[in-house]
Amino acid sequence: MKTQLSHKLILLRGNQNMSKNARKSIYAILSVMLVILLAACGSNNNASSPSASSDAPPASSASVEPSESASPDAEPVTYTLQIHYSTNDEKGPADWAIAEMKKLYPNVTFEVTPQLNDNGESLKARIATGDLPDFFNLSPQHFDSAIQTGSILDLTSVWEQSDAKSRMSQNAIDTQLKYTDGKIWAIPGAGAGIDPLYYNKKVFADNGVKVPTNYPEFLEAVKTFNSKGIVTIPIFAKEAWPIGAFFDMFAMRAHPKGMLALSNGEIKASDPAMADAIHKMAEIIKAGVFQKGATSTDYDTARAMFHQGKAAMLVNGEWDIGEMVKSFGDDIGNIDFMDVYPTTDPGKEDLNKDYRPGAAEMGGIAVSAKAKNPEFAKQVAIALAEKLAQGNFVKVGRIDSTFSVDGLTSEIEMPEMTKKLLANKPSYKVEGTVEHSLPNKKFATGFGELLQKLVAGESAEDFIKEVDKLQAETR
Amino acid sequence: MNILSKAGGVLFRTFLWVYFLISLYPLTYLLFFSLKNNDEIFYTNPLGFPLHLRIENYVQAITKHDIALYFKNSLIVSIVSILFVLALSLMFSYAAARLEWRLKGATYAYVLLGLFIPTQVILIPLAVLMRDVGIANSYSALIVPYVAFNLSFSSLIFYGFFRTIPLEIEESAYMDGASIYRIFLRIMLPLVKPAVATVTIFAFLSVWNEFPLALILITDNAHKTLPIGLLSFSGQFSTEWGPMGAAMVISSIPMILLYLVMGDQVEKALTVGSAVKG
Amino acid sequence: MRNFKHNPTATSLFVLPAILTFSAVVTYPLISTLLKSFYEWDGITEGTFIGFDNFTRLFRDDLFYTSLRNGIIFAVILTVFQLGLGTIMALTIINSKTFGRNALRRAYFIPVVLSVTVVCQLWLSMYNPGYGLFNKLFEFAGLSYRQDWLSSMGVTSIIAVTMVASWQSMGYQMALIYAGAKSIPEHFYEAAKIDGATTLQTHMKITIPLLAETYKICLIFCINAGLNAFAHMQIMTKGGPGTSTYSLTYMMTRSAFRLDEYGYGCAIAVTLVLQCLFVTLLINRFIARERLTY
Repeated sequence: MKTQLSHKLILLRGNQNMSKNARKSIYAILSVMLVILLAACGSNNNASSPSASSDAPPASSASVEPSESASPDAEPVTYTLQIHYSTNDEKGPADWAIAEMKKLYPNVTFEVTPQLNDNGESLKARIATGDLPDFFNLSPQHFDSAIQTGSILDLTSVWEQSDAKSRMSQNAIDTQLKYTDGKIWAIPGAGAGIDPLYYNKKVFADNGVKVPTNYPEFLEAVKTFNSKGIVTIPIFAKEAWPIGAFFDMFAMRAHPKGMLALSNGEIKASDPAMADAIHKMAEIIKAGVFQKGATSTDYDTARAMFHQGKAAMLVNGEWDIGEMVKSFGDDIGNIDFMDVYPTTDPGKEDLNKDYRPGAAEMGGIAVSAKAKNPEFAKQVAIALAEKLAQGNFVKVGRIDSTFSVDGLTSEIEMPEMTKKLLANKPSYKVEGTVEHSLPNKKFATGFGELLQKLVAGESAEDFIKEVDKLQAETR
Repeated sequence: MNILSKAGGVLFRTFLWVYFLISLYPLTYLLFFSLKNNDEIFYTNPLGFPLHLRIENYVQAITKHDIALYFKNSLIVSIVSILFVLALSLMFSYAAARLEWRLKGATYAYVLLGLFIPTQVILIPLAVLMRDVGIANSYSALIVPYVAFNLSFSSLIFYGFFRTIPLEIEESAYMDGASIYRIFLRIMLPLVKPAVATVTIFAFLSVWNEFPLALILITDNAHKTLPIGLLSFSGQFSTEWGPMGAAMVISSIPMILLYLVMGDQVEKALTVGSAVKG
Repeated sequence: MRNFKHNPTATSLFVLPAILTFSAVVTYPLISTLLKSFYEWDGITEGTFIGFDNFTRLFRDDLFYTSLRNGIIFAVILTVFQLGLGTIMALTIINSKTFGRNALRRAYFIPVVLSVTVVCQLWLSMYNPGYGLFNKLFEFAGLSYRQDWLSSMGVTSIIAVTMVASWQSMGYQMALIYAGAKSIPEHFYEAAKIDGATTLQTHMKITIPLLAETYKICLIFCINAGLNAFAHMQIMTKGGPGTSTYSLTYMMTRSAFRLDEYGYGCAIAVTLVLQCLFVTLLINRFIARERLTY
């Protein structure tokens, strides 16, 4: 028994000796690789710019009183900056802004990291652990937690003393600067932007469809387009906000604030005017205004359909105009947006016609409480916010900057659409807000899901019932 | 064999090879879309061969999105995690499978709990813990949790393998005068090689593509891993899918290589193992 | 022999590193989550103690039952598909007479290796109602049947999402079954051959029963993966349309990160863990109870 086993063992070991040696060498190689990598990474870490914020001693409280060194402008300082920096139309403006900042503050270097598109999860975690970038985009949903944990600096006094103040539009100052506690925590760069209903004149002409001015014409257009296999409005209903914009096109006829009114409890879904708007929406959705599978279509897919000239209309923000110029090139003249949303009965086209879906959102560049030289950092933040907003105009032709763009020229040739937008802007009223910024978060989340159900074909009655219920529960 | 079973045989073989193509297709799909641009991917040509070979996607991914840095970080984190996982779980499963001690069963069951705890459940408390212990934003912030989470699966596999090894081998070694440590290192370890290969592959899989923990626990760019790096291709509204595809191809290479290399190991070692047992 | 097996020093040395790491990373935060589930907490500031209120609210929440239903569907489909197909594939590959089995084995595993994002993107294209592969196949076959795969409000959407996950990780289960089957000694098969059994009979009567331990592991994986499902629905449908493809994990992240109701999220997490625990214990109790030695 014993010898048999020992023989077996020897056999085992013998057969495995070679592979055992091979395994040993693999481990040896791996360990050597590991050491080399660690050494390389170690030196890399020292070589790459040290992040100022993690080394700085934490400020003792949120409202820091200046007791810093006499001339902070002189010594070089590096700040971490987290902003949208992923696609080319985000990097263009950002790089321009940073270059401009270098002229104003030569001693300041920015270390840019792209803001992650993760529904604010990582930022929320960073607020919880107190580890924020020096400057970052603060969105409305995070205001409360950032303020309560003392993670951001109060910018009110520095703003009041700055000259950038004179260059911000009055509308922005009135509606986007001060938070509910009366203080300024973030400097907004994007002002009141509307969500136009773009349309492609050529697609309409080619298919013999009249550009609709009211609801029956709209319905007619949808039916004609469908019979010809053309999508009327490709919508990225995977996200709730475009549906929200579409909703407001109908709902604002019933109440100037649209969804916001529902969220605030100022109107009920079952109130006659609102119910009528909802019925129209449900009807046109059932008639096939959107593409099939809308609720699992994402932004790029839907937009591509319109940008390729294959769809008739598009619901999107103003920022898309720059991209449309690039996609359509010389044919950009074919693209326009509706003066009036075709969502009413005939004869009622003027009802609340100036109220537009869109938002003047709070939020913008905020400063971490742990940033070096807090008072200096606040000044830098204000200048940075201004430059970023202007960069959007210069590089991608956006005209919704909160700061004035006098004296600057855009690299994007302004299409007719933009000129029309600029001319009409003063008459537009934006009293609602976008879906994800509805202040009543519980309502917003549930409502977004109900909107998707509507797009998936739910009946108007069921929708109205559910919205009423949601409203009651989340008051 | 009658005609019916022959036909069944042909049908079955066809099915096998169709499934073969289906399994390989995503790789080709990935390769294709790494060479296309957004319009092609989504609208004009989603499933076909790229119309133009846009190599610039790769260039962009590497030069403008720090992919090389993320790759290196992922590599370091993965390799170190796996080494520790192997070491810790081999020791633990051997003790649980072979040694006698109180609470043995309970402890083993305790470790297995990790199998079904989704990472999201402990995300924020873990992040706070990492910060309090002072290792936030370092490789350890990821390595320690990865090791802990993979202990359950590895222990399970090793435990099973250890249990199928005949007791006589250890007994005779013991009677030959070997200490427990010798037995473990020189006898048991070589015998579970196929399991080591299996566990390495699975652990690497789970660590290399891991997302939620890497997102929350690492905030500074110097330590980010590949899955988070991939996020940087997504802007506020739209995403550059072409370069992201290029990054994904780059990120898939180690996994595929590892499987091709280790997969053979498993095959060879298994043949030896079963021949001996008879 | 007793001295050999009772060795407190060796035991501590072998056991402690693993246990300490595990407890620090998993148990401690888990307990924290458990405690917080009794609070109304927004994740940042101090919470208020509310006892079992989170749980009572959970059991009255429609969304909870939708998520639960989806988790069960997910788990069942995963199990049936992966164990079923996995077994067939594994056993075919083990058979040395199968042509090209090495290539087959490697190919079947490739989907596992790919990132979830790629696989979901691919399937999103295939599911597309307009130009996607599936509807085009129907068109090709002359059928007028079309399906809006991911946009229906009933169970079609969740089943569609589940198929993606099943397909992707089938290779995983196949590998486990393959490893398990490979370690069944040759002489069993030889004996069966001598007795004149066909391949099918051999597998039905010998291989599969002997794989019981492996199946136990696979079952535990499939069911837990199903109940815990998250990535696929997040990428493909974001829980939509509406809430029809929600899973418990998704519901938990929604509460924690979108609604700032972290305490409620913790309650969901606790329920989830208990659920998985319960199922695992059940499986453990009723399958493969004897130790297998051969």
